[in-house]
Amino acid sequence: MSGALAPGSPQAGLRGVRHARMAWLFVVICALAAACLLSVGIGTRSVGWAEIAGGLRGHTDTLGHSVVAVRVPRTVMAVLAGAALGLAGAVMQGVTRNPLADPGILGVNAGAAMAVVLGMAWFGMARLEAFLWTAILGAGLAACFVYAVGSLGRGGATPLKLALAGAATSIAASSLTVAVMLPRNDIAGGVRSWQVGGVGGATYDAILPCLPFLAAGLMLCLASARSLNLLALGDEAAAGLGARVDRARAGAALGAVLLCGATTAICGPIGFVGLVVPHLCRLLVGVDHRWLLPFSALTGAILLLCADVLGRVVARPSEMDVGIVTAFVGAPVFIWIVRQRRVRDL
Amino acid sequence: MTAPTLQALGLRAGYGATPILKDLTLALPPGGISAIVGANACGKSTLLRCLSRLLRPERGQVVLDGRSVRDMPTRDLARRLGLLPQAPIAPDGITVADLVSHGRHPHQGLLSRWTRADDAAVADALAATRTAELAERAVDELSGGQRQRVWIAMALAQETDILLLDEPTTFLDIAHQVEVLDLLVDLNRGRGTTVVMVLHDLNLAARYADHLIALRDGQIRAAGTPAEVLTEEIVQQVFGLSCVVIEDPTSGRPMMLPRGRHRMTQAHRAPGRDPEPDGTPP
Ligand SMILES: Nc1ncnc2c1ncn2[C@@H]1O[C@H](COP(=O)(O)OP(=O)(O)OP(=O)(O)O)[C@@H](O)[C@H]1O
Ligand SMILES: [Mg+2]
Repeated sequence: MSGALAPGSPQAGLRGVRHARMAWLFVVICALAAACLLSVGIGTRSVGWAEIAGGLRGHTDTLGHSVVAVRVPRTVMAVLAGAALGLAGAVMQGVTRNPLADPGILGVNAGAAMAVVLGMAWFGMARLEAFLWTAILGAGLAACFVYAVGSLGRGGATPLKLALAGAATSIAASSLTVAVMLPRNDIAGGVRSWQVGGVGGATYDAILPCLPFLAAGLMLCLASARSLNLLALGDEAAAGLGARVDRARAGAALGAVLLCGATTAICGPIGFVGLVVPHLCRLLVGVDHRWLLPFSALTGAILLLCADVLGRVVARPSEMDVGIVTAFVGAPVFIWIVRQRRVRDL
Repeated sequence: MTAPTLQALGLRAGYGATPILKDLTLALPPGGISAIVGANACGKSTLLRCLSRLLRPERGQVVLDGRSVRDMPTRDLARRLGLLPQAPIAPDGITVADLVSHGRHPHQGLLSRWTRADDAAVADALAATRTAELAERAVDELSGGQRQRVWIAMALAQETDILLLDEPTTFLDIAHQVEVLDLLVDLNRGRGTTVVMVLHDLNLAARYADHLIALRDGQIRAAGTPAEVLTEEIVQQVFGLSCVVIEDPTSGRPMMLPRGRHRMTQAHRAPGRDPEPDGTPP
C-alpha cells in the first residue's frame, strides 16, 4: 500500500508540511540569534562590534565592555523567561483545550505573585532564592486549587470548569495581593517594580538558582507533547487511544507551573507572551504539539528579547519594563488573532 | 488469532447518585458484529464507556479474554480495543491525515519512530473510508458526513481486535450509512475484528448485526439474533412504539415499520385512538 508515493498521496503531502516546518525552524533560529545580538548591542548606550566581542570575552576595562557584560545576563534572562512563558502558554492551552488559556487564566501567575508579595510583606523576604521557592509554591498551590475546584462535580476537570476556576482564583489572588500591599508603604515600591515585570536587573546569580526548575519544567512539557496531541481530541477519544488522561494533564500542568513559577519569581508576572506566542506558532507549524511546543519556546524568547530591546529604545535615556512592552505589543496582536481565527467555543 | 471475548459482569455504573446501568451482564460474540439499540438516554453510550474503561463501574467488571480491563496497561488495552465516541472533538485546524495518524498512537513506543507499518495503516484507513482525497484538508472545514468518515478512518488506523462505535452513521446520508456498515462487515470478515456499535436505525441494525442487544432503562431487555430481538413486542417495550415487523426482502432479516397516529391504512389504525385518514378525530 505504501510503496512508491504518488505526488498527491497523503504521505507526500505530509512530507511537504515537514519541509515547510523545517524551513520555519531555520527562520526562527536565525531570528533568535539576531534578537540576541540586538539585545546585547542596543540600549540606552549603543555599542559597536569590537566592544561586543570584548565584553563577551569578559573584558570590563572600557564602559562599552562593561555595558555588554551587564547586557549578556539580561539577554540570557530574556531568552529563558520568554521561552518558559511561551512554552507554558502552549502547554496550558493544550491541557485546558482552551485557545484563550495562558499562565494567567489558570491562576498560576497570580498565585505565584501573591505568594511573593505575602512573603515580602509578612516575612520580610528579600532574597531571590526565597522568591523562587515561594513563587513556585504559590504557582503550584494555585494550580492544585484550580484543578481541585475544577474537578468538582460531574465529568471531572473539564476545560470550561478549569478556565472558570482559574479566572476566579486569579481575581481572588490579585485582590488579596492588593489588600496586603495597600497599607504597607514600606514594601509598595519594591512590589510595584517587581509586579510590572522586568529582566533589567538580571545577573547570573539570579539566573543560576532557577535553572534546575526551568530545566525540569522544560523536560516535563516537551515530554507531554504527544499526550497533548491526544488530549486535543477530547478525553474520551484520548483515553480510547491509550492516553492516561489525568496523569498526562497533571504532568504537563506541573511542567508549566515550574516554568511560570520560576519565571515569575525573577521577572515578576509578564503577561501576554503565553497567550500570543502559541497562536502565532500555530499559524506557522499547525497544531501538532511536537512542533508547536519547541516553536513556542523559541518564539517566546524572540518576543521577549524584542520587547526588552524596544523598552530600552522608546524611553531613552531611561527604560521601560518589559512587562509593559509585552502588554502594549501583545494586546493588539491578541485582538488581531481573535479576529483572524475563529476561536472555538469553550 | 482467536477472536477476543469481551464480557460485562454485573455492571452498575452512572455519573452520580442514581446508577444509569443497573446490574447489567452481557457477553459479546467473539468475532461477530453486535448492535446495541435502545431509546435515547437509556444508557447505550454509558455501556460503551464502561466497556472501553472510560467509566469505572461502581460494581461489577468488564472482562476481556478472562482478564479484568482494570488490570490491563492502558496502551495494551488501546491496541486491542478501539472506541469511536458519539461526539468526538477535532482540534482547530488539524488536517485529516494528522487526525487519522493519531490512531497509531497505541502502536508507538515512547521513543519509537513512525514506521512503514504506520504509514500503511493510515493509507489503508483513508482508502477504506474513501477519505484519501481529503487527506490535506482541515477537519473543521469538512461536512458532517465527511468528518464522520474521517473519525471512522482514525478508528480503523488503530487496528484493534475490537472496535466499539457509538452511532457511527449519524450525519451520514443513506448511501454513506450503508457504505460505512458494509465497510464494518468487510473489516469483520477480512480482519476478524469484533464490531460493537450503537445504532438508532433498527432496520439497518437487524440487517448488519449478527447479534442485537436491546437496552431499556440501563438493563438488557433482550439479546440474541435479529429475528429473536426485533419483534413487535420487544420494540413496544423498548421504545414504547407500536410497529409491524415483516421480512426484509433484500436481506431476509426482520424489518420493522412503525405505526404512527397518522397516515395509517385502515388495517393498521388503532381503533378508538388514531384519527381517521381524513383527519377527523376518533
Ligand atoms: N457525562 C455525564 N454526566 C452526567 N450524566 C450523564 C453523562 N453522560 C450521560 N449522562 C446521563 O446518563 C443517562 C444515559 O446517557 P447515555 O449517554 O448513556 O444515553 P444513550 O443511550 O447513549 O442516549 P443517546 O441515544 O441519546 O445517545 C442520561 O440520562 C444522561 O443524562
Ligand atoms: Mg449515546
